[in-house]
Amino acid sequence: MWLIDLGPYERCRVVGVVRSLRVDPVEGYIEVTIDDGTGQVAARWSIRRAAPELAIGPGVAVLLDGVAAVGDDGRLTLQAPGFQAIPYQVSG
Amino acid sequence: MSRAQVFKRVLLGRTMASSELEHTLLPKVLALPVFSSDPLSSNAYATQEIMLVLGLVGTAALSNVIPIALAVALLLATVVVSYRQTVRAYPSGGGAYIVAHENLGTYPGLLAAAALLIDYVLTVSVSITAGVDAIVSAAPTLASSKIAMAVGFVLFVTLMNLRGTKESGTLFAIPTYGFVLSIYALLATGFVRCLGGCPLAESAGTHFEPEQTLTLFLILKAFSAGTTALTGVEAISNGVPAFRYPQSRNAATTLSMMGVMSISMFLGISLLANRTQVVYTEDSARTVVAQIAHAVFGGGFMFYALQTMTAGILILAANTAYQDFPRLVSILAQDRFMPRQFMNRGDRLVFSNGVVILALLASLLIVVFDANLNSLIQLYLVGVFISFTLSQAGMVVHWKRGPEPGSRRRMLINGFGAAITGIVFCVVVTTKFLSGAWIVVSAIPLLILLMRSIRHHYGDVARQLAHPDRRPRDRRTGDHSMVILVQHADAATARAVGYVRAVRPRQATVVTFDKGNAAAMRRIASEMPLTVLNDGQHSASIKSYLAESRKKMPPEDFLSLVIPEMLEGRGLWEIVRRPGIHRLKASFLRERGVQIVDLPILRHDIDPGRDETEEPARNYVVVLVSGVHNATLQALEYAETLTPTDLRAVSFGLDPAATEKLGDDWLSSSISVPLELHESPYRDMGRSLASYVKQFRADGRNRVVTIVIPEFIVRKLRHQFLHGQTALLVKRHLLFEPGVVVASVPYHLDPEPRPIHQKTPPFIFKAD
Repeated sequence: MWLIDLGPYERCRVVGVVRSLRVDPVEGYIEVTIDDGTGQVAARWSIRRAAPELAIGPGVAVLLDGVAAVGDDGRLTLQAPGFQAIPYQVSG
Repeated sequence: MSRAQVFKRVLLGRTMASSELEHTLLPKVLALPVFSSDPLSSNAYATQEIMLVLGLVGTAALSNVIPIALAVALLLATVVVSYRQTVRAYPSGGGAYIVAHENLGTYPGLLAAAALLIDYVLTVSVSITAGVDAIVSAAPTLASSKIAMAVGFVLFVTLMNLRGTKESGTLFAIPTYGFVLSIYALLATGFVRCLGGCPLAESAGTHFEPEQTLTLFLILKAFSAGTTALTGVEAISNGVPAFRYPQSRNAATTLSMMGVMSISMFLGISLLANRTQVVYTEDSARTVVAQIAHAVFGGGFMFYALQTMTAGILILAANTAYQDFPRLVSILAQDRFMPRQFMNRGDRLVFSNGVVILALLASLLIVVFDANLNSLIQLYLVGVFISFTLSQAGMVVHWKRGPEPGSRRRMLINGFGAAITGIVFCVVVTTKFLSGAWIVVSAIPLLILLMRSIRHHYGDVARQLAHPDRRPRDRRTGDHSMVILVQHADAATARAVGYVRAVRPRQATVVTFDKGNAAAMRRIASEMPLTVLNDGQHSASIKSYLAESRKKMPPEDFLSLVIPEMLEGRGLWEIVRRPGIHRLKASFLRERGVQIVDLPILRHDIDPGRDETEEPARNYVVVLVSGVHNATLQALEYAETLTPTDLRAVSFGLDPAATEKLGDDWLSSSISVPLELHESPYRDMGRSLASYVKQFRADGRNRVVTIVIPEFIVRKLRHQFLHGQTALLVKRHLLFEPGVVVASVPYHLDPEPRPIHQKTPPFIFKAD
């Protein structure tokens, strides 16, 4: 689905490119913002001992699968969605 | 956009995003001219170089051209077959440096790299000089301005390359295919006319006395002169990542196409030169190809067309080096053997810094050697054969390591190639040593030493930055003292006073050089003690003032020099026009234990009816980070003392692997500041940061953003060039953003590691 169609409490599977990643050691979460060209959505995971989410940094294409909730800041946020990096290569 | 930026855009085109890189990949039809113009174009002078050597023995010896040309062609075929293996084994680009480095070790890798770097520079000088020779053959009146023409062409090719790969590919296809076609036309017409008795060249029948007798040495020398036909074969193997997918197969096919074209043209020209009885000496006005063409075509349209195409391809052959030199330097920079500025692509996705350096060096060689082809060519080839040999030898080891079907056969092919090119290398060095090759032979070790010392320096810096004396747990956070440097008691100064009040430092003082400022300062900042320094050496008196203050402070405290700046207008000109203040700032950056806080304000933005000394209510603090190391930790500690409303660390434009490492390091370092990683699609951190800062909607009155930039200060000035001037570039972009304060936190790198503080209370970050 496209992000522009995403509403609160909807389940979504979406592909996008990670625009930014935030690591907050105090609040204990990792958050990425992805963009699919129609809109943006944040995805948030709490920090565990190993943080596999760090593998999806800015520029990486990713598939997210989760439910959209309204986050603290009013933005739609996927809480701990399943994720998978999609290999695409910009060579050089 | 400033005027300088507009100029750059018109000259080079719009800035391209990193994601557009895919679109600059080349199809085979375009990759052939881009990567093969060098080996193809050397046919314009390879035969002539053989004849020049043989000519020393007299006209009769010229018949030896044919067997020597055959030997060179055989060598070329061997190298092409050998390199097809490399291209398939190293799809990510298997230049001699990578192959030798991976399989033979660091020093063979560096040897190959040094040889290649020198040869790329020579490729540019030699090709362009030969191109100018072709023009002079057609228009002899231009002979006097050869150097100027050559340097002009270097400039032209440089500009084309700064615009980017693909566009240059399209443009460069025309002369390359034009040259190949017109040579084939020349050969076809020539051989057809030979059926009814060959036409004779203008120099046919010239007789001169032999200076020497025909010896084995001379034959070998003629042979090594002819091997110029091989230069640039490695270009394709370096350039595999620039090909369309499937990259390896396309590259191997292109390599074979190039080999077939080059060998047929070379043998054809040599045979025709022999049949038309061309005689060539140092004094000949026309090149060998020009003489043949003149004889065959009789000086008509085709003659001029061929000369134009020859000049064209030779000038563009330099392009091969423009593709590879910057790429090799960037790979070396990734491995820390070259300054890291060479690592990054510029606005047009080209490794611009490498392009510019190449252009400078090549022009220098052209000027020093008076654009004389025959002396330049003596330096050539040494590097080519070093890299051929090392690359093939590396491939032998590669096949030995990874046994797969066919690897034994491949090993034999590469082994044979290595042996042959190794022998030719010895021949080239012995025959050319005295006439110029010694320059290259002695420059290579110097270059290796340079690269080694660069690597050593980076290693040293990394060790110091990782030194544990700044780890959070080992330190106690300090407080902050601030000194405002007042030049004029104006709105900028008033705003600085407000900023300092908002930070609430342990102590705030004011220094000025002008007694006239004292009254005004007492009015706007009555609580801050004021010192009037005696005028004279400005920076010296501030330095001693700061040193005095430093002595009275606890060692863990920070001491900031706050510099208010009134900017008259936007644009780069503002920075250029007032070098004094920038020199002043730069000189403080080298002082130990002093941070510089820069508070710029545009005169345009000042509201005269407002009291600027009011404290801003919010101070968002952003720390720029590139990794978890001492400079970053120190900057974070500093940022904590600025009483931030919100404190975060930000990094731009890291690749996914670096992101993951930074995130992991961040989480395992017990830092309690959030870290944000953002894209930098145009690879320009300053611009990305300037647009990032806009989200805070800072106005300088109620909301300010403080950008904290950790900077490394190295002891020796020459080492400073090895560190990206990121801080400088970033500051330039932020200077004109409203309400942005830039704090530089220098981290001084010592030649020797410092002792570790042990008996300090545990460090606690203020978590809010």
